[in-house]
Amino acid sequence: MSSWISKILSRKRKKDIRLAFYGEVNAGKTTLANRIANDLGHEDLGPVSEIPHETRKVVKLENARLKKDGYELNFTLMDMPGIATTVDYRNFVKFGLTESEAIQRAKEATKGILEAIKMIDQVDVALIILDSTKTPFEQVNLTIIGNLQLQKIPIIIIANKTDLPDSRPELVRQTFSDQMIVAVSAKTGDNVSALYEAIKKKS
Amino acid sequence: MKYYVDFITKNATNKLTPFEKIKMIIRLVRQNRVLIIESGLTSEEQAELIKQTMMVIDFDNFIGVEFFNWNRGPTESRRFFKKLPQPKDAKYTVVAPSAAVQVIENSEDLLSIELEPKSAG
Repeated sequence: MSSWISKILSRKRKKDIRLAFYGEVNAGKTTLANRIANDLGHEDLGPVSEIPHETRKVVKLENARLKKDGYELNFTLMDMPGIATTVDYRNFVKFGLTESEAIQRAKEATKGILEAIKMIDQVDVALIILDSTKTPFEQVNLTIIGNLQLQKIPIIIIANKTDLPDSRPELVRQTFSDQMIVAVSAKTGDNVSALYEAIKKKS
Repeated sequence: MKYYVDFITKNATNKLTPFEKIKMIIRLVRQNRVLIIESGLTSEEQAELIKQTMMVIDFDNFIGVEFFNWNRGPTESRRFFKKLPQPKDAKYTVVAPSAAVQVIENSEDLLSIELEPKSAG
């Protein structure tokens, strides 16, 4: 049996779904990860902050179980650091950090980005979180999507922040018309139940 | 600070391994060069570019890169999501030092960047 067939079959058999949260800095990855963790009866995975690169290493929550409408899903949630191609500590100073704190944060951020890219092959289902108040084309990371597709990892695009007045999830749908899209508000929890249905279909 | 724009032909990159190609890109970008790469970068090469960039950021002289793939336009975007990205589909990739680049417009139809002579950050 060819390796890619066995890979797909083994993924199908797998009970534990390693669910990864990818997206640009401040797209709402951790807010959504926390929302799902809370729904599944767990504490927050990590703090949410206005300062970029709050999540600087992969944060995992294992054995998170969802029982819903006759089906059961077991998750390992993987909150990934935001992927960036540049890290400048001066941007953190603008948020009130001291220079040494900012440099430390920047060093950790570069390591976190490395880790997030290296862990792509450990993912079963990837959520690509977009801020639906911003232009989708500018914030989507085609590098990550391309590498996920190369490894045949299912993708769900999340149009997040639908609670905000400037939210335009229809733009996300237009941009990614061939992809599964779920519009949610991670902050309020609106429509997150639809996301669970989408994950069930993809896993 | 002076910046230079280099056009790098397929001929120049085809003889390199992906790792060597990324090494060359990083070396040139750190010399304040904006690169227009005819062969483009595959998804794997882009991931490698980010990884190698993260390993050489020093915060004072080099804070990273910006790169733009010329796989755009509605037709190209739709095709990207319908099948696996193939190296032959990559047209051009523009790679520039982050400290130099101010993006004026980055839409499906136009990439417009301004090069600003400034220090890192």
